[in-house]
Amino acid sequence: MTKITTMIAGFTALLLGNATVAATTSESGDKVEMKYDAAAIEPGAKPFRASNCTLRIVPTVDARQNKETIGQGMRGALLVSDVAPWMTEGLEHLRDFGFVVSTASADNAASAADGVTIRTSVTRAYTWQIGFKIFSMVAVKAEFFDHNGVLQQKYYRAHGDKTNMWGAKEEYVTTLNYGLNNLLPFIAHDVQSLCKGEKVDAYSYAGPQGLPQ
Amino acid sequence: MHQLRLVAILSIALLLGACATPTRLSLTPEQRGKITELAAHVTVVQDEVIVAVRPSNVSAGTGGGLIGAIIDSNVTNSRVKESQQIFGPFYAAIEDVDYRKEFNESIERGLSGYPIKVSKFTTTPRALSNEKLIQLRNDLQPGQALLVIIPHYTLSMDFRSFDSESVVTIWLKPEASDLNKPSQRGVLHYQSAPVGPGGKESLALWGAQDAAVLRNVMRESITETVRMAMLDINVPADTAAQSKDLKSFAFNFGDGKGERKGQVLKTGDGRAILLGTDQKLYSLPDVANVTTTAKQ
Repeated sequence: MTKITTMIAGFTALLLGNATVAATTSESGDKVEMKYDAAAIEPGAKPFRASNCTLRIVPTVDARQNKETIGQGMRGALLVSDVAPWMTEGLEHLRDFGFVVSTASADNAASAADGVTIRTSVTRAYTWQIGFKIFSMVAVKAEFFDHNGVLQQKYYRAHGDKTNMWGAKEEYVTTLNYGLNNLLPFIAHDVQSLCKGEKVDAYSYAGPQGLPQ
Repeated sequence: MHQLRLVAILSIALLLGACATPTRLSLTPEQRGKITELAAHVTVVQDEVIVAVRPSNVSAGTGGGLIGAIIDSNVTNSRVKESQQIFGPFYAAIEDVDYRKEFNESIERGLSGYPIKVSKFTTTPRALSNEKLIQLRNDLQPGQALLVIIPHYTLSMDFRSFDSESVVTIWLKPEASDLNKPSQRGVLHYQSAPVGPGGKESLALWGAQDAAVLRNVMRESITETVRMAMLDINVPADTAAQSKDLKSFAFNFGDGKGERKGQVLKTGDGRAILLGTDQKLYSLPDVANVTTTAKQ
């Protein structure tokens, strides 16, 4: 009964949200905390064992055109501040793939004797809603370095999805976490290749279905 | 449990209240005569174009329920996955596209050609709060009105059409009008001429030459929205699409098929503006022009 009632409330609120937008009536923004969650992963998905290559991570830069919001929830705009720490924390979970992860500063990205350094900027991080579902989009520009300098530049996109169960603002952040966690195997795959001295594609799109088999 | 029930009941009541707002409200001739200047406030929630995936609606057909809702959720999810697989590579072509910036530049240019002066533009990703709305209305000077535009823009599921639908409202000072209701409200729908045969081939055309076609259509959608908004100010409230005056126009519902009927209010530049039978204003390609544009 609780589930059904909650579902009714959530669904009605969702419809109401759309209706409210249409009516341009009052809406106030909701401040949301961009908290990384490694557990927001697709069922059955788990990090594959890539390699024990050294990976240095330069803190991400927030390069979004819109640095104010990640979309719109039931109570209006979903307001966020800097999303860079969220992305950086997510990237640090590349250690789950076996890499020896450490942090690096932007000034000495190419100074390590071995391994690969990754420097990223997040260019999009937003959510949208279709019916019961929330979808997220994460776009990242990455530069990979080794001790000789820039190895390769790369552009990633990833989307995630989640059923809107409660209409809570945290669900939108969780959906973005799904997107980011869908992206990590693609980055891990590339780092593995770059550590071996192999080139990688200039662009990858990551969805919930994971790496191509 | 009791609280959850209460939330559900309140939600339904609120929903019904929101649904009661009519699609179209028009200024009275007296109100229209007094407006000499507009302050425009544009809320663009989206960061970039999304695909207009049709949500599954099995639960409506089965009388609702949790199972129907779960089926809907899964079907919608699968449709989005499928469309994103095709759409994924296209993002590389539109990474720098900034619709808010385009809207700001185009609306300023577009509105400059109309007799009503626009004194101020604000474009924001934040939805307008009630407090902010009251503040903006209180700040209005004599002769001024607040123009609020909320656009939503998409590529159709078959990737052939670019659509934008804007809810446009005009608000007067609180003491001069209803406190909670806009003095004018219109829903303005723009649809581009179809591009390509659909799917990846259409996306290739949209994305060619640094997404030139998409950028042009985006600008056109903004110009047409302004055109419809200005036209709507002068369309009296009692105007309804009369059956004898109805004309049909091709309209892509996402599968390349369909039509919209309405009363033509204006034509020109290969497009027609019509008042649809659903009370929305549409800017659609004139049928004679569709083939030519599709070859671009």
